[in-house]
Amino acid sequence: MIEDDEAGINIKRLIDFGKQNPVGRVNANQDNANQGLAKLVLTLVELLRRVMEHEALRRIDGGTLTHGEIEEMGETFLKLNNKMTEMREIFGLKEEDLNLDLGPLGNLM
Amino acid sequence: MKRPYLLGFVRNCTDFPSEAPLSVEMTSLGEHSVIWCKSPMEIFTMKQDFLSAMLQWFEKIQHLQLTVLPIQSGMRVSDEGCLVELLRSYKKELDLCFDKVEGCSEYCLTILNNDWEFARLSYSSLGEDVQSGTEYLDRVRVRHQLIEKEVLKARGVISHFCLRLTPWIEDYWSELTQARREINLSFLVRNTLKPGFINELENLLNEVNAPDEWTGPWLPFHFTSFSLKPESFLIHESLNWEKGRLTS
Repeated sequence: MIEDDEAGINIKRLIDFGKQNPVGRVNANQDNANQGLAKLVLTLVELLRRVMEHEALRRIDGGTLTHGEIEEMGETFLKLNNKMTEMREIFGLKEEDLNLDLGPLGNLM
Repeated sequence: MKRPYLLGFVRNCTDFPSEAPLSVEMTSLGEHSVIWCKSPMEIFTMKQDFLSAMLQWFEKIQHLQLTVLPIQSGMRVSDEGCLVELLRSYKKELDLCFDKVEGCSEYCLTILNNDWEFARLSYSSLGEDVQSGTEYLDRVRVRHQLIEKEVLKARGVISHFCLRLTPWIEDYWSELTQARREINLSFLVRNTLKPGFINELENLLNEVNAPDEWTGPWLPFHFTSFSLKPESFLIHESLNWEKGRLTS
């Protein structure tokens, strides 16, 4: 019975203070499907990267890793960081583009 | 077939303004009514025009001292016959919601985080000129600590405002924007307490050097707690208005 309308609006955005949040939802129109898909995939990879980095810090704080292991892990994350920057540039995406608007739940990141 | 686009709900309403371009109609069941119009895409070229027209209409409604539950984002039903069923299905939720916001208005404000510095540092820039993996992880750690500090500070500000305004508010809603640069707050205020609320709010805003950063009264957009939305909407894009993609 109830459907979404293409005219979907978020009044909160309209009344909340005149400053638009730059984060949008995934744009999956036919015209730019590649970029929309890349944005979605890179957003998920970015989320996983940040979760893994968080977990890495937790493990370091736990004191179970050697200096060598910490250095190796840091280098891996650094390479992933650089690769993500490279991928974003390929698809013409900015860092703030890698996010998802989850409506009332806020943004993914 | 006309597919009603829902704008909100009213209780104990028999009449309200309806004029072009936003011709609003009403379907009732008992004391509850749903207000709707035909697909805005058929009427307005730009989304912004529709939003402006809708807000103007809501403003007129407010002058009638009606309690309106606005629907936050685009919803429609397949035909007019569904509207009565909709009212029947949501009767309990509507009653609860009306009871909460009856005789109240919403006020909004934005508080800038003046000490906002760290948010300008992008996540990807953490890797710039890094000499080792350990240094990179150290930077990530510092970033986490700063974010935590900013969030704690924002919570403190929200708590301060809410505590000071407690005598005049029924409820509040808050949001820290993505970059933690701004705090958005909304307050549900009983209409009879508006003068006292505004006075105290302005005192508070003067203390943070933001005397004019409030708006209102609005319909209780942030306090109509029930949702008509299927969850799929949360990842649904609502672009392409200007391309005239009509779906009705």
